[in-house]
Amino acid sequence: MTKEKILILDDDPDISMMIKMMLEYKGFNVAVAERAEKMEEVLPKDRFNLIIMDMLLSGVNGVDICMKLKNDQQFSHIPIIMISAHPNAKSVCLEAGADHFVAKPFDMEEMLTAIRRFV
Amino acid sequence: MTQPNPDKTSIYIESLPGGSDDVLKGNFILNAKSKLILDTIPSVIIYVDKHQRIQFINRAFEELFRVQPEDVLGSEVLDFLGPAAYAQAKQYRENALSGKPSRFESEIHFKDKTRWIEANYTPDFDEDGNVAGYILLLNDITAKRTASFETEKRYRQLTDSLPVAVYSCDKDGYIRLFNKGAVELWGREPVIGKDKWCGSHLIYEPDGITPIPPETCPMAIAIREGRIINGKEIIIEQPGGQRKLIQPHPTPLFDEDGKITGAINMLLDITEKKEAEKKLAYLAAIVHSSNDPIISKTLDGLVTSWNEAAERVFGYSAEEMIGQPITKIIPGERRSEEVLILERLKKGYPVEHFETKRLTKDNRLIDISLTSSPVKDNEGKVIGASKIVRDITAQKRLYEALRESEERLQLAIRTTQLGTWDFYPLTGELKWSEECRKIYDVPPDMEVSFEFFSEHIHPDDEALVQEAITEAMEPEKGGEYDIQYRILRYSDKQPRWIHAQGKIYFNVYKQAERFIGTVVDITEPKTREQELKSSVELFTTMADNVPAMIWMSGNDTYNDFFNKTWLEFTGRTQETESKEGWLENVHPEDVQQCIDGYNKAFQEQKGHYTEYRLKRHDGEYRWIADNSVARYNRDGSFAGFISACIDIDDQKNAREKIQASELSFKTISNVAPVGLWMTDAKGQHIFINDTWIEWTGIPFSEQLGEGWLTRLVEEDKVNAPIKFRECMEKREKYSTEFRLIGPDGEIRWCLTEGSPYYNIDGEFCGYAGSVTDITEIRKMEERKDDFIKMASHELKTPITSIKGYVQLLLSIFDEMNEEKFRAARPTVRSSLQTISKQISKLTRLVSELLDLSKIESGKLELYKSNFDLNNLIEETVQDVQLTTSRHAILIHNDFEGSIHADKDRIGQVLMNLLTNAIKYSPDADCVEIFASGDRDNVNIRVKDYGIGIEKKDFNKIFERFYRVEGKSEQTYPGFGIGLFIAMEIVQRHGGKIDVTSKKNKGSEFTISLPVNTIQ
Repeated sequence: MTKEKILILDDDPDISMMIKMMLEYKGFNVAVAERAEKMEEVLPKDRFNLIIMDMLLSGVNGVDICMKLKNDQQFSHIPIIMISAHPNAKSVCLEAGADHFVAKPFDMEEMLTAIRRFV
Repeated sequence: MTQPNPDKTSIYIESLPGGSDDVLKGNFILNAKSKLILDTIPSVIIYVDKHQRIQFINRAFEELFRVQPEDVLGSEVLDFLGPAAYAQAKQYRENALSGKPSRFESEIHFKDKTRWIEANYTPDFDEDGNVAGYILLLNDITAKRTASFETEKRYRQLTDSLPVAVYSCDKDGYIRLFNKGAVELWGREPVIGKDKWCGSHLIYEPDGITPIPPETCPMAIAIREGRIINGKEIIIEQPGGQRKLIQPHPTPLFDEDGKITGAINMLLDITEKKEAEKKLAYLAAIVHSSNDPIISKTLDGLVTSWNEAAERVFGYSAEEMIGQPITKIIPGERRSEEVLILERLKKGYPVEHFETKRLTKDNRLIDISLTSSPVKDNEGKVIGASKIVRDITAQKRLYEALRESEERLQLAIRTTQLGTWDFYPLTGELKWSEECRKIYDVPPDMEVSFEFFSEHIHPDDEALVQEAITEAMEPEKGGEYDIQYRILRYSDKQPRWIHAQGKIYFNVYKQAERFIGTVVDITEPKTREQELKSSVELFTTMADNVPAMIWMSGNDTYNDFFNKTWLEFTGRTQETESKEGWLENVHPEDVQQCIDGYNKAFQEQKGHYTEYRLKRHDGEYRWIADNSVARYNRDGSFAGFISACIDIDDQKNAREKIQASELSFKTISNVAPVGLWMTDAKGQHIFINDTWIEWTGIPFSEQLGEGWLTRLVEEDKVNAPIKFRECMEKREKYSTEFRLIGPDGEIRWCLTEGSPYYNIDGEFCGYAGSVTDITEIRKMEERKDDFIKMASHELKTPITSIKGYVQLLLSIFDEMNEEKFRAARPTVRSSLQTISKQISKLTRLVSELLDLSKIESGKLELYKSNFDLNNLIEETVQDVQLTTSRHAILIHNDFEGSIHADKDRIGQVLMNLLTNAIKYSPDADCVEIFASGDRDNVNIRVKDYGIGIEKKDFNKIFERFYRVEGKSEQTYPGFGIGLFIAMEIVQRHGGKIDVTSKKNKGSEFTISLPVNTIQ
């Protein structure tokens, strides 16, 4: 069986590494991008089944990236799960086209349940 | 021989002795008896023959001329009389010698004596019927003449009292008589016997240029041509240069034979009338051109004028309507209206905008609104609607009066309702004129006597009249009689006031011979006078009892009345206050102001308000408010001032206090660091303080009303006033925030709060409020909001991480597969390391928050001790070095020794500076720390090669919640309170923290601390 590929976009390495370790342990193929530019570079090279991104990124707003992806025919089919510690972020993210939202701090089970909905 | 007829004072001698020849020869002999008779006759008798020789004189002649018969008899008349006197009587002598009798009265001058004589010439015929001579009989009438001259003088006085100018000339044009009116008109008094035709010699045609020679003036023409001159207008120039437009009415006078003896001329001053006519002409033009019908009518309702608009509206022409009753255009059922209108007009009230219907010529009913005003004459009497017609009537009547030259004076007397009386005390005969009888209401045919007169004197005035008469009767008092008293009218015994003036003529024995005079009924003026008197009393009583101090002045500038309140206030008397006496009590500093104020008020004849200090009876100066009002007479002329004054001293002091408090309020409001405003009851701004003006940069004048809105940001420009209106309607407290654009373009957040204010009567007057600059608070709030967002993010991130690793570890431990469990060992290790790191991070964040709250509540405490600074730097660098693999932290230490400080807190500061240096230099590979100092101070510098800070932000970075940020830059994690806490710590140690930085080159933070160690 081929492993589902998940791309994590988060500028905080503590978070991205934690998720990466968790998902790899659960058998996913995980790639991490710390900045938006890096993601844009990685994304076309591989077939990703899911993107998990933080809403608050340094320099660029995750919401803008989400919208950009959802408006790009090449990537619009890739489900996006947005995560944020911001209390009111859910509606903003969903409006921007995110398929799911998970608030920080999250339960591992909660995250895995959400991932399994899409892959 | 017959006796002379004493009545006729003429003599007829029939039987003179001797023939005509004897007479001619001068042998005129009279028998003794005849001579005796002729000598007893008091009249002078002379017989002159046909050769004009004096043939006989009687004793009266001798006495009159003081001559002896032998000196006169036989001499010729011419020789005796002299040429002048001879010529005077020439005509009458010739008449007598041609057989005709004649008579004349003349003034003759004889031997330095002037006598008035009456001469009777009677021809004497001989047997053949030829004239033989004539008998001349002379009566001395000087006394009679003098008496009549006195009467004339009396009449002259009456003439003087006539309201018109009257004068007369003899047939040669010499002015013989003139009254005061004429003198006033001419501006000079003519010289009797010298001035001719007119009292003024500068006469012009109405054009004012063409002179009229006196001998062709209307008076001259009237005398020369024996006709009345009418309608001529002339201009008379008075010696003073003033000109008068005059209408003369010269009327020639004729004797019994129809010969002109002179003329009387009445001069009407029409200067003013002419002006009035001009105005009238304008008015007429207005009436004529008016679009509304203008109709005038008499009080009987007869139409007297009818303008074009009336013709148009009613269809009747002026010819058809004038003289017709106004009822012609009033519908039958509305006739009673007219009666009511006329009644109202007669009472002097106007009828305004009365809506009714009127009938046109073609029987149409039209709706009209009528306004009718009574037309009044100069005395205010309602005379109807046509002033013009009335004026002409009055003129005509005067003219008629003139024509009756014979009775002109009597008529004048009658028109002034002047009664005359003539009393002969010796005989008791009393004559009353018609007017006099009217005053007493005595029938014309009833006999009156002195007793009758006495009986009708009011009992209270009897003594007064008696005294006046007695006094007048005394010759040395001059015989003048002038008295006002009450009579009881004959018909109804009603008391009437009369004014009697008279003169007594005494005979040679100093006996009162004749007492003549005039009487006029003055009941009405007298009543008015009494009413006035009582109203003056009423006024005084009233004025004395009002609490205000009242003064009153006439139309001179002198105050002549002060009421009781005033006098009690000043403690002075009416006499001492009168004229300018009251000024003595005015405060010396205020006197000039008072005088100037009053003079101005009198000049302008306008009310005047002033305040001054007036000395009270106890010597204290009190402020007085003096509010004078102009008084006017009934005719509208200025009568002076009346003023009510009030002691406002207490008020004034209070006012001054208020003014002082106003000033301090103003000062306070203007220096206050908040904006202050005030509106009127309509919500329009009437006040704003300097602070607000400074904030907006807009001058005061442009702020009033709603001008203050100009500088608000567009959105608030709309919202702020709406909110205000809502609150104002409910009189609620108003509070709103708005943004103001300052003159430098900076936005200032403002909080305005206002409350309604009311005057002492509880009436709403507007809102007063303040504007507080809440920009800083706002910014702080914004930062606080950001801080909370950030804090939640910053705190959640390590928790998320820890939670994730813990859950990963749990799932690893739950793994039943031993091999897989063993394979996960590195994952477990790395997870536990990360958890540990995240917990330290959390600890640091929490302690920062704790420090912040300690600083904010002032509870941050320092635990100082001596410690080695180098050790602290090295320890801290080691700790920080653990967190970064990229940066090398280099220590340059030039300081040796201990400092006295809170070691943990200083460590915290160094930690903060170093972590910041690493955080904000992501692309650099080194951070340096320098330490240097002397015995007193130590400097620690932390230098990075990172993104740097802009100079304008140097101060901001030490503020709470501030983080270096920007669009193009990364947002760096952290609370943004690290530097704030660091600064607090350093400052609490008595040190300071500074920064120098260059954008994209890096920053250098320096802390200086006192060493403070006890050596």
